[in-house]
Amino acid sequence: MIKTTQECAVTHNIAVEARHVVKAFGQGETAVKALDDVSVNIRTGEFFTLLGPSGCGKTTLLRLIAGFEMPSGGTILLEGADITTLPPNKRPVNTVFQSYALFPHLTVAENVGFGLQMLGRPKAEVTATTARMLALVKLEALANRKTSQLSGGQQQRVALARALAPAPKVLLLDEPLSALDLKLRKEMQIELKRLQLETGITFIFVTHDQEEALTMSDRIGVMSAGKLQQVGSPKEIYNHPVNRFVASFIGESNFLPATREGDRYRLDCGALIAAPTAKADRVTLTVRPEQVRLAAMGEADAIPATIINLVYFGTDTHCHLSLSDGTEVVARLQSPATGDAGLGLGQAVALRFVPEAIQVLED
Amino acid sequence: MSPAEQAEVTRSARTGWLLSAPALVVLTLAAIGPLAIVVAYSFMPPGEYGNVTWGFSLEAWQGILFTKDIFDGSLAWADANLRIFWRSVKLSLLTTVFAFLVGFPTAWFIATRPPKARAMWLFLITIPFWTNLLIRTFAITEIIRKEGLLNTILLKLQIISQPFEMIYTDTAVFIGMTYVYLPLMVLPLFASLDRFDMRLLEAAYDLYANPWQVLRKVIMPIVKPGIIAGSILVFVPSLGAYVTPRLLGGGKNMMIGNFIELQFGQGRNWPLGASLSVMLLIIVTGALLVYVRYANRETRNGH
Amino acid sequence: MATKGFVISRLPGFNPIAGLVFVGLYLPIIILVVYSFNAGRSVAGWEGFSLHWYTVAWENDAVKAATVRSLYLAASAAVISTFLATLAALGTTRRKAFGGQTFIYVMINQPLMVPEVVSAVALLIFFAMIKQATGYAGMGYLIAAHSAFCIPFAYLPIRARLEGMDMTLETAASDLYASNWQAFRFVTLPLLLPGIFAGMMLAFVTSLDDVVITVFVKSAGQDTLPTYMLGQIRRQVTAEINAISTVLLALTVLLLTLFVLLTRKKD
Repeated sequence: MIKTTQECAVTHNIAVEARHVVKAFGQGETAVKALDDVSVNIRTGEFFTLLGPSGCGKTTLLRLIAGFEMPSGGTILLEGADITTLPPNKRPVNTVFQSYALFPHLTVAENVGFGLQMLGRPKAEVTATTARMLALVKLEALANRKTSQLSGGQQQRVALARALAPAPKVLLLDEPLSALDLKLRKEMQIELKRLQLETGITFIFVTHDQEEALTMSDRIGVMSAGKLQQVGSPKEIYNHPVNRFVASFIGESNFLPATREGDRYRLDCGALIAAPTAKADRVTLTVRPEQVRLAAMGEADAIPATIINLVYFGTDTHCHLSLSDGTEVVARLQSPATGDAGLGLGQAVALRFVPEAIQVLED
Repeated sequence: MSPAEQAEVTRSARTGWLLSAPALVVLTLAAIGPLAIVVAYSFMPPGEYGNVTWGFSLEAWQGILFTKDIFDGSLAWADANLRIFWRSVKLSLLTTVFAFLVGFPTAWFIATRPPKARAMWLFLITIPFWTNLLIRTFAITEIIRKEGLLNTILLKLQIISQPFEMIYTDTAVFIGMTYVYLPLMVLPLFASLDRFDMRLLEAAYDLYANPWQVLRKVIMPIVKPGIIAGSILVFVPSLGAYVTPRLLGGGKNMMIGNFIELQFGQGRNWPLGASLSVMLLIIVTGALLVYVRYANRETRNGH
Repeated sequence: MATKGFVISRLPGFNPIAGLVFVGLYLPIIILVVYSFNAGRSVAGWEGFSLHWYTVAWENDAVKAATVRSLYLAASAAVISTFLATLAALGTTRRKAFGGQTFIYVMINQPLMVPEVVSAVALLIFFAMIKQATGYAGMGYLIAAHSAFCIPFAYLPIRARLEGMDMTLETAASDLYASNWQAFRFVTLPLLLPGIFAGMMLAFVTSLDDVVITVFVKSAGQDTLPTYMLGQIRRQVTAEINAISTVLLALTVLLLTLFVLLTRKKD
């Protein structure tokens, strides 16, 4: 177990730190880098989400923190202590597995008490903590069931209680909600957030579901192709994506190639618009669909466009527009009360971007 | 069930029985039926030159445990028989335990290889399994007999000055049986371990179990059916072994199988041979029933 | 790939034990094969490479007769038991469950459950009675006994193949106007053939390997290769036995490889 008594100023609020972590699978020329020089600090007590498409390396990073695999390079620290080569049973970190990995030969209570039992805690403590954990996840009634007799949602709760019972410094959750249906998933999202607040334990949560990440996390680390693309609060990530991948993976975005002309940008369709200035001359402007407005012709910064498709979503309508150079832009318009905005296919309109909402990507 | 459904079941049963009938006839005539005759023979008095004479007698059953004094007819424990039973049980248990101790790590090793290599290692276990038992026993005799390879090498290296007698001992039979029956332990263990969810290992280590605890508290309880299957598959043929004790144990270190044969040969006591056979059959059936019971309970519990 | 540190599936000491087991399993067999090429009499000393003992075995009339008898017996038993097992497998799989199915299953697998020595004794008694009554003392007894105990070995791969087959294929065939017989002949049987060959191979190897039942059942002058070897080993051992063993071993490995190739799942 890691000694945590000597906390120094530099690390006092960092639970997990990854430094230049590399993980390659396979050898020689066929080696695949699942993690390519990843460095990240995860703060004590926060709900941190690793978000990215499948194969981006998020689960690999989680498994390295848990100790199931050893990194090919780099260091992993837990509260300032190097745990890089420590086996998982020596790390005060617990995991909620995607498959739950409940022990089929044990009852619910035996599963929950397993960790404490392995730590050699007195029987009374194991029993008491198990009862407390089962109460926490509201499964007291099922304590003596075999895990195979439980529903998916119940198994999920057992897995949570089992991982929380030894009071780990960090709880790792590997897409724990992916096997649940939509309704149950929403419930569990709220439940997880509640548990995190109640226990105060640092949660590292892996998901490919951006909505899940946005609603639950204190901070999000977006990953792609083995690299950490951006770390920040949900709002930062959504409103100020640092690159095209983050902008397109989280929410929807319009991408418009543009060239700087003084303190304004000339779009490829010819329109000249105001936007925050950047160093590079050739950039991509990105705007969320909900920040695109229909404008009157001739209005400042208005860009002429043609409606090529209209998709009705109930609360809003997605209006697909084509600029004169063929660039497609989507505008999300609130559906008017009458249900008919008076728009039609092929109609010539003008659009305008909310200036503060334009992001400049230098790539 | 509707009449149409009922008719379908009847038709299915009729074809099922009809197609199975030829096999059942052959099995009845050349495998199961004769067992009934063995049971009958065990209740008859022996004939003078082998075979039996017609009549009813419990002597053969008595003869398993007791010898009758030829002068006053009093019963005494048949020490020689008891020694043979004890040796059979002892060697079979030792073989089973030792086969488990080395077979489990082997099965684990195979089950944790990448898929392609796993098939190769498994094939390497299958070859000895299908290789003639006689050849495998002979291979062992070649090594441990008096003029065998082991003695030759030890003499050449001047570690020993006299060849030591290893063959025709209980140890030799134990080594031989472990050698020939080991694949029977590894194969069912592998089948169990192959289905074992390796993610449970991660869960166990994650929850602070050390490797020994992972083995004792997680792996072994979950693959228990495989352990029991392997143990029975080794114990049953060990107890009834004939070739291996005959070649490695010699005339003095008999096991039940050889003792049974003796009754049909020089012993000329067919009823005793029959009662011994029935006894062996009962023990083996008992072991199998225990296993079937256990396996059924496991499936009902959902694993 | 980082191999230092912790590997989740490695249990301490297991790999060395497994390594020793594989060495222990193969070393005796390898020594047996190597010494079949020894110019000297046995394993007492290596006296140079020679095919001498293969020639000796080849020129030994008893070995020749036993080989022919073994092959004849194994072939007969394999064909008969596979035929019976195929019918039984068709009768017990892929149909509505019926009463007695478990009974049939237990009957078929019975030879696997009874200790060989007990079966041997039973057959000895039973065949002795028939011999006395009819006076017939030919190979029929051995063929009957071998056919019976080979049935479960032939049955298992055939049944496995049948259970892995798509049931809708026959339904499709009957939808396309095939009679039951035509559906079997043109759909089921071709698909089942690899299973049948695999079963036949296992039956052949099982019969070829049998010692105990053959020793008890055979009449005088009906030695098979294994019983001939058993008799020789008890007398005096020359490397002739090594040579015969090596040939049998090679045959087993060959048949097993064929079996694996036939039953391999295409991935």
